[in-house]
Amino acid sequence: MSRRNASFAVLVAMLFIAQNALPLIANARQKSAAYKKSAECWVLRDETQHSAPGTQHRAPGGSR
Amino acid sequence: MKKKSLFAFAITTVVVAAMASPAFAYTLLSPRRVWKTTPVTVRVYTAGNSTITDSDGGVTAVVGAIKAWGIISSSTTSSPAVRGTAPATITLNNNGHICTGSCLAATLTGYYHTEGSATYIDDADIYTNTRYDYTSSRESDGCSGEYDIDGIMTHEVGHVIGLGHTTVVGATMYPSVSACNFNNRTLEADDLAGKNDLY
Repeated sequence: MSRRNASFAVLVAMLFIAQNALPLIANARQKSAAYKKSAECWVLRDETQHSAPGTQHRAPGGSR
Repeated sequence: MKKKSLFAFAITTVVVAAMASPAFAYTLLSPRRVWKTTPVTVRVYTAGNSTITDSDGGVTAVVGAIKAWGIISSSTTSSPAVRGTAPATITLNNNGHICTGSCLAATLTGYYHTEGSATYIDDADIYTNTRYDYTSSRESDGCSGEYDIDGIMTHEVGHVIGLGHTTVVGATMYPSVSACNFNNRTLEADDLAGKNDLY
C-alpha cells in the first residue's frame, strides 16, 4: 500500500469514528447521567420540638 | 321544586363521592424515581444504638421492622455506609453530620441516575441523631421519653424507596413523631398508596 493510500485509509477511519462512535458515546453519557446531590436529605423530627415556636426546622444541607 | 331537588342530588353526589374516594396526600421524591429492581436491599449497620436496651442496640428490631413495606430485603452488615454506593445502609449510632437538633433520623436521597425517561435510585443512606433516647420492639423495659426506632426506620425506609412526606396525621410518612408513639410501625392507606404508585 502506498503512503498516499495509507493516509487516505486513516482519514476515512477517523471520519467513520467521528460520525458513528462519538455520537454513540455522547448519547450513552446522556442516557446514564448520574446525580449525586449529597445535600438532598429528608428528616423525621421530634414532634415536641417540631411544633415549638421559633424552632429551626431545616437541618444543614437543604433538608426538606 | 324540581331545581331544588336537582341541586340537593348534586350536592349529595359530591359529598358521597368525596367520602368514597380516600384522601391521599403522599408525596414522591422529585424527580420521581424508583429502585430498578425489587426487593430493595437495605442493610443495618451492626453497631447499634447504645440507648436501646435490647440485645444488639436495635439492629435486629430494625431489620424486622422495615420489612413492613413488603418490598425490602433486609439484613445486618458490618460495613459502614458508603454514600452514593448501594446497598442502602442504616446507621443507628451516628448522625452522619446531617441529623442534629430536633432531627431524629435523616435519609440522604440524592443518589440517582436517568435512563431515557426513567429515573433510578442508586443509593440512600440513613443516619440517627444520637442526642435522643430510643426504644425498640425487642426492648422489655417500657417506654419513657424514648422514640420508637422501629417506627422511625420504617419512616426513613419510605424515603429510601422514593417517598416524600405526607400531610396525613398518623401515617408513617408524616414528618414528625412524638416520644413513645409506636404508630409508625404500621403503614396506613396513604403510605401504601404511595408505595403502590411507585412499584
